[in-house]
Amino acid sequence: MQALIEDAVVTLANSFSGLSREAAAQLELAESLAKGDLGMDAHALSFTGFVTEIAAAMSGFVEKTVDNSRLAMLLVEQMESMGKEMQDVIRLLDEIHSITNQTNMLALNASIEAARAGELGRGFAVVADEVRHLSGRTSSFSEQIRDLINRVNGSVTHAEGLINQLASQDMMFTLQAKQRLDETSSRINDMDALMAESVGRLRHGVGLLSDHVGDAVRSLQFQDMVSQLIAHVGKRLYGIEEMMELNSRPAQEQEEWALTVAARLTELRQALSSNPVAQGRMESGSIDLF
Amino acid sequence: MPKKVLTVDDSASIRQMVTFTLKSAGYEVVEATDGNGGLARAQADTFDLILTDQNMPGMDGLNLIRALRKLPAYGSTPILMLTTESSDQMKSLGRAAGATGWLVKPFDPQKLLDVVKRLVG
Repeated sequence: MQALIEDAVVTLANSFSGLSREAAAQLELAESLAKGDLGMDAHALSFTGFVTEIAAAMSGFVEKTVDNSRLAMLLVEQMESMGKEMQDVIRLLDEIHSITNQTNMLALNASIEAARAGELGRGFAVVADEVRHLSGRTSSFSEQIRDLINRVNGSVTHAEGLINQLASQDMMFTLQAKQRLDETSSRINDMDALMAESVGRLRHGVGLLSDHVGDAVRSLQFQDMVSQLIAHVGKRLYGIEEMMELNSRPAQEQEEWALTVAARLTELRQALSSNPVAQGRMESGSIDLF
Repeated sequence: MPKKVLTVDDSASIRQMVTFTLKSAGYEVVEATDGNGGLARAQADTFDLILTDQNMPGMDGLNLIRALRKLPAYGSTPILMLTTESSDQMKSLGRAAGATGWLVKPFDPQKLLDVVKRLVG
């Protein structure tokens, strides 16, 4: 029976120690998961670290994009200013056009006056024709310049629109990406907090389990104590049996054995007087350091 | 290098529980089932601490301590009695034999660890 109990207790103790080891291993695994260093070397980034790095890079990118947008706006302002200056040039060209018209009129009048003067005005008529010709060429150049400036003005206005569109698109995309990343980062922080809380609860649970295993280890020692008590009771029963056997001898032998019985009884009393297990409860035993 | 502990007890369950308790704290533990076996183990190896039961078949705990104290290697090694015996008379015998301390069963794992740590670190 003792062997049976011992076998059962050893099995139970094995189960409790296995349970405790598994719980400690699970806690270690959970702590590794929470730290994010599972199977990685010291230089590897955790997932949280990775997102933090991305968020930092994104912030830098947003700053640069804001700077670029500000520069684009300055460029647009410069282009608007250029457009106004080109309008001034066109106004000056109008002035030149007016002057060439007047010059042409003057040359025409000079030709009429030269014709009236007859032979004497022939040379003057040639000069007047040349002036009209120059006036016409000036007017033609003036028109060409106006056309070119109008085309340049159109291109500048178009470029201004494109720059505006580009700047606003860059800002919108970057700000949306930053917002999404902030939201993801916030969710990861929430997950981290939840995981830290879970690991804390798991650690608390493993601590409680360890206490319970300690209680079980203490309580399972009943087998050793009961075993010693059974052995002690066995010895006492054996002593009683020995005494009964001595007492059952025939009357003529009893006198002869009386001294032997008394001596044996004293021996047995001395040997069995002290109980090897004095404890009546399974509380932790005393500790004395000498 | 982990500290090495010898546990001597005729009860398999006690040996197992002492081993589990000490191993989980990083100690190396060797088991022996009685006094003679414990003495042989102690002579074959070197231990930083010895835990022994009192009532065992063959050589009991007190005689094991007396035998160990005669060996130069165990003149000052901590030797703890871990037993169900709790009388002052037995404790006095243990002290006279050279025991470092007397722990009465059932032992609490944490308290056993505290004592072992205090004695061998």
